[in-house]
Amino acid sequence: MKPRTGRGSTLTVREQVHQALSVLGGPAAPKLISAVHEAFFTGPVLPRRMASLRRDEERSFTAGPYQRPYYICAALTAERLAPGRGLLAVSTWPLERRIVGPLGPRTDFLTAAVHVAQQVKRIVSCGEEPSEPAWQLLRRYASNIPGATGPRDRERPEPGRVRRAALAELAVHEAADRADRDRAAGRAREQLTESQRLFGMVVK
Amino acid sequence: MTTGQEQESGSAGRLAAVRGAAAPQGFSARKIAALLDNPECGRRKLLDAAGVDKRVLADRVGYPSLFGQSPFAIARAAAFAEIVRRDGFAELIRLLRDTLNFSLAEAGVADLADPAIAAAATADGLSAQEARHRETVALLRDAALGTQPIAVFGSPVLALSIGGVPAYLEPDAIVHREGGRFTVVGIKAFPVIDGQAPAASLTAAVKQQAVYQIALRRNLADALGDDADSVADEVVLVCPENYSNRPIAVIHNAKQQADAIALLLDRLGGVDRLVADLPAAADFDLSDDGAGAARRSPGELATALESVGARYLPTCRANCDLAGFCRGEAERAGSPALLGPDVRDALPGIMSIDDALTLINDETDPSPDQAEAVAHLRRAARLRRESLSRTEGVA
Amino acid sequence: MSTLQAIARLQAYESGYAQPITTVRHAHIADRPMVFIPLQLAGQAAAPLAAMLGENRRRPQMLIVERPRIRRYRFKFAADLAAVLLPYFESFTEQSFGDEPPADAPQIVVPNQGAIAFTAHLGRSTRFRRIGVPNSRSAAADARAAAIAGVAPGVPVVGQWLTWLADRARLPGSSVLLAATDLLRAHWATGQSGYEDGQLAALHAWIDPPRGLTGAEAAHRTADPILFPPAGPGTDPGFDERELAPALEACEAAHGDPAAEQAARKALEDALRSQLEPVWDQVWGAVALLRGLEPAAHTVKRWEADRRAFAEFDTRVRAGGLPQPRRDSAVSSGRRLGQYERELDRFEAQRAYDDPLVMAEYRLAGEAFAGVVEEAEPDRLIGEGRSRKLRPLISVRTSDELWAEPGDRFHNAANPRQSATVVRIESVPGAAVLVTVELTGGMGRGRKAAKGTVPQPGDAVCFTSLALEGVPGAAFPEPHETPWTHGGPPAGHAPTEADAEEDWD
Repeated sequence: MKPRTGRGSTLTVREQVHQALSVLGGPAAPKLISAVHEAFFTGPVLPRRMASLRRDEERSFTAGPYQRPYYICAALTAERLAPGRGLLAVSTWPLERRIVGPLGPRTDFLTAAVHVAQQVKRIVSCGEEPSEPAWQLLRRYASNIPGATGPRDRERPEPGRVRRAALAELAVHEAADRADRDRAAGRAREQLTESQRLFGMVVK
Repeated sequence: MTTGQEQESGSAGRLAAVRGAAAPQGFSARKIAALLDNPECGRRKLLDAAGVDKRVLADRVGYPSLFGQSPFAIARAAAFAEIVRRDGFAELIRLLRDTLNFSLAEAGVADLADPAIAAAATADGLSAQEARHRETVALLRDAALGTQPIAVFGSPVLALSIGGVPAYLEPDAIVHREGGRFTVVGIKAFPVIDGQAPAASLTAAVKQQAVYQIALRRNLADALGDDADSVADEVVLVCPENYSNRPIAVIHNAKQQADAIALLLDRLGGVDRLVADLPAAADFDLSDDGAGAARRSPGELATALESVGARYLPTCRANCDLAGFCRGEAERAGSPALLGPDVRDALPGIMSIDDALTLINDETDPSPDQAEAVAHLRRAARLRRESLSRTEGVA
Repeated sequence: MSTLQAIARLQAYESGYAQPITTVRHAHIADRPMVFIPLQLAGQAAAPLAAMLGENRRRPQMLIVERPRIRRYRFKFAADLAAVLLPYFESFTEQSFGDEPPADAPQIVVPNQGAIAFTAHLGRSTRFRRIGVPNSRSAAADARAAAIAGVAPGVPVVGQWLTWLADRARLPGSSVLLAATDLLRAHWATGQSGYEDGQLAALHAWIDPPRGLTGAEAAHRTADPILFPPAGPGTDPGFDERELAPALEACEAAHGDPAAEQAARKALEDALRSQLEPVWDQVWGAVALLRGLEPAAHTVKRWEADRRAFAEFDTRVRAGGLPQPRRDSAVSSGRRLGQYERELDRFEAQRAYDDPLVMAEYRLAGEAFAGVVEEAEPDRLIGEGRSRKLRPLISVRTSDELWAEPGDRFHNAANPRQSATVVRIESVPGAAVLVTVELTGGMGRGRKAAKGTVPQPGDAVCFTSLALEGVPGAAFPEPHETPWTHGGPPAGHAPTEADAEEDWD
């Protein structure tokens, strides 16, 4: 495929990632970030360009903490408080939102579904046509959430319905997931340095 | 597994010496399944157990392996696996709900490929695989006891002793229902078209999952005491549906394959004996001496290879890097195996094609135990001669 | 494999050349066959990459898919294929009159079973498509399809034909879609293993080596995938890595720049031609080898059935018939299986009656015996008055090992309507037996046998327990009579929207 990265965009990679993560509202892997950016902004972000982002951000933070309004940081695994594999997050989010316990991948997926559906709905209600990548992204969520589509709207899921279905499943997981997050976040606040809270604990 | 492990480390030590200074090649379920395609081949068994890189070895002895996987097939398999794994295994969770009746709440995921697991454990002096295995067993145990709500274990690491040699195996996923059973899941890029998977691919995939099933049963038994019921006989294969990228689940009962493999694994012992029978000077050291010169010459490697008996089958060419070497050896010996197992089976007790021909042509007398088979062969040869000459006469 | 074939393999190994395992050809080779060699992109069931095809060995036509991962290009391949195949099929229907089968029928020859499976996949992935309009009714899919500009008219039709060919290829004895490897293996034994015979290049080399080489030497050379690319549909992984991947990447990169596109396309075509041309020669070589063999007596009848089947299906397609369903109903799959089994029995029997070398297999198994007539009682009559019947006796001296006892029924291989009931079996000197049989039928209507219908002393004869007309299989109910235990009468299959819209990623 021809690289079309940043076509027409004057933003830096970190800004593009920030845009996409802000839509999703939770930690995400580079490929998903790229898909979201393509769906709602200006084309995909090459995952390769995100590879060193977390490390660069950590270096910048260590050199002078909180010099920037936000940092692209890590999600922390609930068990070890280590950086979650390949996941990117935003430093201004509450720590709990960046914790990934056993149910974290599922609840993050459902939360993202809610936000993506809202974003599509917003575009439609402005009288505009969402891009094909946006529909594709919405389909990706809709097809894996029970009750999010009917037989007639597989190609173009109804955003309101996707949102309701995602919220309904989220309610099932909420208590257990919240408990994991709260517990791990408490431990992180007790045990980790400020930098580790953002970028995770790494055993060397 | 304590006493077993101590014994194993003895033979593992000797096997390491056979491999020499080169880095070991791990066992994989595919390798085990392939090993079981030809369980009587001592050569393959020994080399795999010792972790010798057969591809490099084949190259060094002058029979480069012709295997290869197309970059397109590799890319397609990786892309499909990524679709199944992304979004916290969302596609797999949908399939589990549809086909294995998982409840909405059963959506917890553990990623056992997380490098933090290995990083944390290397501090304890474990290898990455040992660390991931330890974590896998701990999490499986928690799931079995109901203390951790995990439904999907991604990239777990299981341990299995192969002929006395410990091996680590990595299934694509294991899934678990609360209060229920564990099921092995394989992610495969061959398509299921109108409900039908290509037979050969399906068989190979099920066999591979059956190897994981056995390892999982044994690991759980070690961790929890005997509870054979905790692992389902069925395996789940996740494949693309028809000509699309959408994953579909195929459930297949693997009991028959698992039973056969377990039986063969128990009989597979004997690596010890193979090592013991190896001449003192023979090894398969593929490393160099640090100055760029190989420690073993091609001739030395070939001699070492010849000192371990092989059982060549033409189908080895589809699944063993060394097949070219073994074929060459069979050619020099004029072995009936060259003509395939059917011909070999038609020549019981006859060691070479030349012997078979002289017996059939009445130039030598059969031994008593060959007599019956040779009489049948001679009748066949007579009928063939007669039928061919009859038509020549007509024409 | 039988012991006879094992002997043939041993002899092939010894001599260095393939050995015949039949005395005649048991497949029909048409006057105007078309050779079709499809290639697919590794790792995907129905992603066409290229094809070489045509009726003229000197003028192969080549189709390529420069962007095989994009569905529009796959449909274009299907349309290109239709543009070659449909006129070929039509050229046979023009000769059809009334109830008579057409004088000839199409015959497609592919390299191997993999190509037959690929033909089925191609048929399956195209026959449900709707033409002229984007393949969907929803706006989103239409948007996706907008660039496709509809599927060309020939696509679903060629899909039906490809499906028909692949289905019929499973019918034993049919010759409308043949695999070169199957044809060669059915007629020659090589000095290598059956597994290796699956590679067309090696198999062909054993049978017809280039001048100056033995078959064994020529086959040995084919181990090099650069000189002898695999016969498809999968391409050589080394070729994929070294040549195909860069060539396809160049096509992607050139997209949008017509001059660059053309150059990249040309480079891809050259690379693919290097893989197809050797196979093209081997398949035509196989056709020529088979053509050189005397056809077996029953091939004419079997080809007539193929011609009728072709005409029938052609009528159905012309009438705008529905595409074949995705899956057979319980009854039609049972019916089909039963038909295949009957056809297999019939085909096996016909082969044996047509070919002494095939009959030899049955002789070795004790299901047939051949020998020379020692005594004959040609005018023997039994019974009284009106029920007096002609029942000649003959005694045959055979050294075959016979598994029979008095009362067993055999058939005269040279006169299939004549049956022979064993009366007695006596040992005679010289490791032989004398079998006395009573003959019934196949001797004309009179009290005396028609001339030449009763074997005379000194005649060479062969009798077999194998019946030429197989036992009829279990009767399957007509579709509308399907019992409720099997789901009741099947609903007529009509392709759905989902069929037409199916992804082809």
